[in-house]
Amino acid sequence: MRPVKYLAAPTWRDAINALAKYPTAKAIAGGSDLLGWIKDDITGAKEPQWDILVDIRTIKEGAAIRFSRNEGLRIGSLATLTDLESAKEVQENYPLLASAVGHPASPGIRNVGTIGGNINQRPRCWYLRGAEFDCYKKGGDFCFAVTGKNEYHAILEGELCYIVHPSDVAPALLALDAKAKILGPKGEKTVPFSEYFVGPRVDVIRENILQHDEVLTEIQIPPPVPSSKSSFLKVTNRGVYDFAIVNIATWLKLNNGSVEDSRIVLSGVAPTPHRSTAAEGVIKGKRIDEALAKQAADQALVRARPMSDNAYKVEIAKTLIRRSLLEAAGA
Amino acid sequence: MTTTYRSVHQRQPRLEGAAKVTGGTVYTADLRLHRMVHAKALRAPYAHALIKRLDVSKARAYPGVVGVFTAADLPQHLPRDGANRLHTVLADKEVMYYGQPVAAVVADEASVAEEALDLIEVEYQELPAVLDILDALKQDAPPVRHSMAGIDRSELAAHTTLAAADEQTTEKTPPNVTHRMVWSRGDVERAFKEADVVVERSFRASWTHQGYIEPMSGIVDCDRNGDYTVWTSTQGDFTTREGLAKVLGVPETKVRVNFVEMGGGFGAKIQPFGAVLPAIIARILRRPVKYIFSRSEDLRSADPSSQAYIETKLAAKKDGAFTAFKARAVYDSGSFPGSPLMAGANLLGAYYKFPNLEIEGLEVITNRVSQGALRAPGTPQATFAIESTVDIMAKELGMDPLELRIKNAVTQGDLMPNGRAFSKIGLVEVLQRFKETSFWKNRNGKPSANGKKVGVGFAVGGWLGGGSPSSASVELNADGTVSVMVGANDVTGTNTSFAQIVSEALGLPIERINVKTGDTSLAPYAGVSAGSKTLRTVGLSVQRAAQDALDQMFKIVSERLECSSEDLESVDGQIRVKGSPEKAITFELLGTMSTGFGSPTPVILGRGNVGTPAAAPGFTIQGAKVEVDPETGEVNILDAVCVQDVGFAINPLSVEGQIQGGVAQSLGLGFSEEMVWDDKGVLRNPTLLDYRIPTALDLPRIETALVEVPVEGAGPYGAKGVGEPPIAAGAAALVNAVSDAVGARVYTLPATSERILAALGKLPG
Repeated sequence: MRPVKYLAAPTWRDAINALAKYPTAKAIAGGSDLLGWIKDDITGAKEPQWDILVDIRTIKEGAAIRFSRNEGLRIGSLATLTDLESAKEVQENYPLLASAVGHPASPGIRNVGTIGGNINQRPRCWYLRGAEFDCYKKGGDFCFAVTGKNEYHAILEGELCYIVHPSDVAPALLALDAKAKILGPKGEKTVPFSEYFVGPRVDVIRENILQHDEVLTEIQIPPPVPSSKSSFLKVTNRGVYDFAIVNIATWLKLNNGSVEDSRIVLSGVAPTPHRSTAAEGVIKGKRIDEALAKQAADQALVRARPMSDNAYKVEIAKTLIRRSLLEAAGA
Repeated sequence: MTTTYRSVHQRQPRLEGAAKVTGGTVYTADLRLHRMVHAKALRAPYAHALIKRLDVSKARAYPGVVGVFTAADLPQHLPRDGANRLHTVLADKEVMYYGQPVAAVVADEASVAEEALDLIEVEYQELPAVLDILDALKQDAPPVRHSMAGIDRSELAAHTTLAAADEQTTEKTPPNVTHRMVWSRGDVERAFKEADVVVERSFRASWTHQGYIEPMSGIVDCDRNGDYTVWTSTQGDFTTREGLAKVLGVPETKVRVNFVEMGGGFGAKIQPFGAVLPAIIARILRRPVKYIFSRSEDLRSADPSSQAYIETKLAAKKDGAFTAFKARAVYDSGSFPGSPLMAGANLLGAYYKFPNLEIEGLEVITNRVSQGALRAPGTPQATFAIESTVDIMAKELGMDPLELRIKNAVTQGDLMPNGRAFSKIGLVEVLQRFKETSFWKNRNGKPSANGKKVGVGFAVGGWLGGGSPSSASVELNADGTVSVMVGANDVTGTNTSFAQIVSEALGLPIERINVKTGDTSLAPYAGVSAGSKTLRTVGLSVQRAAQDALDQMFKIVSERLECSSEDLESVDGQIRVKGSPEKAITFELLGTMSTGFGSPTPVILGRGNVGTPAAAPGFTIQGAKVEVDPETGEVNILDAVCVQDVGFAINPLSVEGQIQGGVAQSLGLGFSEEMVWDDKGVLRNPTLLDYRIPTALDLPRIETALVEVPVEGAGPYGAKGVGEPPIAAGAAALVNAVSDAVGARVYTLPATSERILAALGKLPG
């Protein structure tokens, strides 16, 4: 690993000042993604060699978790996944989030990995992560997955770049209609997560709207909705230490057994967490049963464009949508 | 057998185990020497390329850099014909595999060396790479390397002396085929015509990595006399000495290899890959050089296990008797020859009685890192092919797959494909014992639920085992303790088992026995710890050395007590007259007598040495019970078992642990482990995140059942090799279980979600 300079930021303001000052600085919290990234020497014309680490774990209150019936849940982005998994407020009011934060990596990594880090982690594409491949994301002019090995790549919304979003937490946040609080040099702003993630069509270099000198400070989840139901499912190759082949967060609001409102979000299938409005359209106003769930699943993948090695992900995505709907609806 | 034992055949915790699990054990990477420098290699980013320009001047000028070396900077006397991977230290004009070292930087700190690697400028001209095993067979395939003249085919030829027909490669041989052999007996074609059922299939097994915890590592010093001192992660100190001496062009005694604990090898650390580069540089710099692979470097550039493509054709009569077996086995050796073709092709047809047989074996080279041994090398691939075929045959015949195997299983005197006859083996006993396992009794225990399907499968596996001469010494110390010295690297708890053997022979508690692996300038010779042979070869020497020491003590005591040696016995640390326990001399007294200043009593120093003992093939049957989700292709392993003939379990605790480890590894080959090279030959999963070794969450409780069919003279108390058989059959058992569960079969290892969904016909195309 190349030498890096370490700066401790006592406040969020100090953190963004340091980031604004140094173009090769990066904020570090748990470091479970960033340190591997630096060690693997992933650089390019648009991907600098990060040589200044701005420690944000030193920020007081950055990991606070607060809940109120009126305002809902406020999660400091430095809260670890384990903090959230074991927080009573989360378990009791947001079972979908409690389940999602228990899925990444392993207990050891969840003990250091923060929710902010999980949301902002870089994709696992094995071309992006290979120093030999100067791909679009690093400023190159090719996506090596197109002609190479693509069993873990996108089946939906791929364009130029075929990464998949790696987070287990992000789809749950979208399903819960959460918002991101962002701090930058111009001040604070709050953005719904549905507008937070950025696909290659908008900007192939990044996966979210955060600018270099901005930080995600808080995640805000609205108060729990009565008569809402949810489900989180994830398929992996291995029981632990594995990213999703496909994962899904489903949130339903039922009215007399019929779906009044829903949010169905998958990761592992597209460059951003993929909200399937197609599936949501199929179930709206209806009672979920096996046939409807299957219809929603098929509809959700109508626009799937599998690559040479990843058609199996279409099958898995359909299966998870169907199961997730049935599980959430208790059907 | 009603013999009772005091120490052997008892469950003895590993003597060095506590230090290992509490972090006390010192490994090569932990060592620091005075004036030590650190080496790092620049590795090629292409699978096949010419080096057009290589400029290291900026790296040389970097502060903290002690030296930068390319092939041109290495001493000219070094062999560099490219025939042998060990001799190809740095790529010389041509890169033959992704990750091949092209240059080495040596610096005061490893991090500085790494930084300086960036400053090396290389211009490559990319060449077509041959990657697919079937492409490599083609006559018009581009050559894996420019000059084929340097290819050393002698190693393989040496194994084929018993081949019924062995065609030397000729001008007409495709450029990347490095070996072809045929074994045959009887008339297979006629047998196929006369058979009631014929099953014909083809199989593929992927490249896999041994998955040891400690990456390749070495430290080598070279003094002013040109004497080398080595610390390295190896399975064989003496073979490291031999290999290094050959590369360095010095007599073996100029190389002294110290014993350091090794964090796993599984066959990969037979060759001294971690020590060659630092040795050559240490000679130039006259300073100790440390060379530690990162995990990624180890996955890219060590010596993983080869892929294979195997076609099978099996004929049987209605009653289940196998009448003919024909197969074609192709093993990919990577960029240098030396694959386990012979072992794999032989075991492919060795589990069953085949009156008519024809096996063609081919070795090809491809533009990949060269392969190395992985626990029963070549065998999991071959076993997957034959044991899948046999399962299909059972289905076609409508026979119970276990009964079909019992009916055709080989016994003493039956021929292997290579024409040799089996000695006393325990395959049939193992198959019978299988029916008594809890696994077998509970095989129908969990019904399919929630759309998931439960299935049970099993497969036979075996390993012939290797052998080599060995020696050991047993010495009585002044304090009444005993020092045992061996030259064998303790890879699997062998030093604990040696202590048990000495304890048994001397009647001395194990706490008073100290087994050490000496360095190569002091230790009695032993071969490499590989081939499932350490305990049975070195163990025999230890047993003899202990007996020799005991004889010497009996002689002294019989003179002292004026009795015959025959009247003496050794019990609880004293030698006494049988029936008169008060007439005794303790080990302490003997120790004092034999070391005292001016004492006439000679030092008690027992010596044991043996040649290669009788062969002792070890057979297993492995079972797996799986739950398959037919909609996602996920496999959950519910139960696993391995029944193995171990001859005689010196330490059942250790034997069971070794078997469980082998089963865990074999299941990994079955469902998750696969090295993925992309279309350009660049490894895409050089991390333990993407190269998936199973974790505790992926594996069930693993039941073991030991069968003991001892073979006189094969090992101490008739012990057989244990380490390799348990990896042979697990992958095949798992695939058979998946097939039992979902009714569709996977023909490529590992059985991933994708392959299972494809087998179920759920994927387009």
